[in-house]
Amino acid sequence: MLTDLLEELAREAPTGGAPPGQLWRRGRRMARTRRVGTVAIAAVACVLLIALGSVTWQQRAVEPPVADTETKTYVPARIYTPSPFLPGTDEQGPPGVLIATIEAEREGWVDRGRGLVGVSATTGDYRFLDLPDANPEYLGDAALSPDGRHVAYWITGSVPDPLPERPKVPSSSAFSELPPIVGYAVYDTVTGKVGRRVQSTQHGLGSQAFVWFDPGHLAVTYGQMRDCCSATPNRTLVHDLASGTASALSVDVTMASTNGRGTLIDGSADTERRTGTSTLIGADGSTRSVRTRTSDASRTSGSMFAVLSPDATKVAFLTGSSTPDTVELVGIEDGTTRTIDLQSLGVVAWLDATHLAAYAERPDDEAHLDLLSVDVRDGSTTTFVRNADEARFAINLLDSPVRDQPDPPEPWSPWRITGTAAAVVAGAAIAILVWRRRVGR
Amino acid sequence: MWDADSHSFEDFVAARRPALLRTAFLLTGQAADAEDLVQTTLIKVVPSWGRIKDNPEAYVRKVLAREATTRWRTRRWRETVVEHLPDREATGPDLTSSVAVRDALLRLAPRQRAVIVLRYYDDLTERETAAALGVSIGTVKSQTSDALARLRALIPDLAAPDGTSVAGFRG
Repeated sequence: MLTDLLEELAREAPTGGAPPGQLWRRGRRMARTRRVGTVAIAAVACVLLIALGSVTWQQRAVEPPVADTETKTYVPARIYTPSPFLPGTDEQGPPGVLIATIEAEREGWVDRGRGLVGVSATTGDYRFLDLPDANPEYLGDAALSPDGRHVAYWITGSVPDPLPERPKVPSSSAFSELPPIVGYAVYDTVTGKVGRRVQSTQHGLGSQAFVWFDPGHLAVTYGQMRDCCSATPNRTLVHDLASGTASALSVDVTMASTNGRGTLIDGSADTERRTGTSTLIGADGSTRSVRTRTSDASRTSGSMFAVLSPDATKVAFLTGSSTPDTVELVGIEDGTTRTIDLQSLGVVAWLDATHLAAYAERPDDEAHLDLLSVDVRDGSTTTFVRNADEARFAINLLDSPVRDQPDPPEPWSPWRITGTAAAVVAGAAIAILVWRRRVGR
Repeated sequence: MWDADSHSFEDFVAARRPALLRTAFLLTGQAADAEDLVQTTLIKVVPSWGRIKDNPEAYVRKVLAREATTRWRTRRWRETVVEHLPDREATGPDLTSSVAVRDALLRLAPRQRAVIVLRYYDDLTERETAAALGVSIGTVKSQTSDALARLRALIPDLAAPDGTSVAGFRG
């Protein structure tokens, strides 16, 4: 019955309508309009995707490799906080001679941790150093050679008798879940080659310090982990990069600083306080006590606070009991002392016979330190690297000309790039759908 | 090629437009809206004509049904839904007149109306109805059941003598 009723009602339906030819033409016109709009939207989406890809590619563009060690080097006028998404040397190759390294956050698709960024001395380029067998947790110990050519770092691996996993204890690698340290390696920033020195160890090494005597000689101090909480007394080796040999050194260089030209100075305040002398250490193991008692007995200790001049005739100390402190100079040969009217938070290196590089607070930004060039003759200062506190410098290159190097790129996170691309595609799809529906009405 | 397609399209329109208009009239309840719906449907199928010309009927009816239901969402059809059906004589054949049936159809939701028209006027199976509307067979069943219940309430004479079914069903 319902069918009959519907058929009866349907008899009231209209019978007219536009001529079929006109409908065909309108249909064709609608199809053309749809097609044009679809192509236009797709073209816009393609342009956006190409622009996105172009920006991403430019941010990760491969810098030409700097293979020539004689290329002119510069000190960057400013150190930037590196983006965690900067490319690494695995992608872009070795960065060339470095002016500085910076320990920084590094992130990828899913992983997040610490990384070591190298700052090119020639181009100012920033690049994460992909150091084989390095563990991000130990990168804080990595040491840049005075000429910026090599980076020394601890390598991890398996040991015959690994320590049991226990709750993590601060400052003890034995308790962490990290693999044990089995030796060290030296990364060549120009060739990308890595020289490994695996040490004989039962439980792993207790890492202590790397100090470069000069560009060709690396002092390595470490102990052997005895158990979960202690290590044997430190042992020091001097690694000759040219010959590849390592020889034992009888002194501990954990608290020493280098003049970058073959001599370390033991910056330990204990030695100085006890005897009024400090120890100069040569790469051949020779030691020499020099009188360095200063006018201020409260000298700050640590390698950051005592630096030896390139000719090993003068020492600059940070002295005083406040922060910042004054800088004091001691002539090793004649025992003269002199205080420089400068408030500094640390001395980094001698730039030449008459200039020191020292940290100082920025008047307008206490969160960052600038690197000053201090003329020890008259105490005059010049800021030559801004925001320098996060960097560790190749000290023999600090006398290079200062240049405003380009800002490092701020690459997007891979998630953001993918999300943006997906949004563009989805937006285009929705726009095409809406357009086609609108045209079809 | 376009000429050949154009001719076959025009032939189809000439042959099938009256039938399409009847279905559209049941779906919309208004002559003008039915003409508009059929015209829109025919224009929309032109871009696909080369692909469907050998058997266009099913595709055209699918576009027609979907257009009828989706346009409801944009409230394009000029439906006038009233709270109560117009008063009618208590007796006589008027209860199942065309006006009463049309009013009752207009009181259904567009998809329910489409299900009723496709199933009981166009004589499509549940599967064909589901395909035409782009819904599942289960949806067709439930929409049919709901629509019939509503129609029974609106047009008591539709009820079968035993009060459990509607006479004249097919499928």
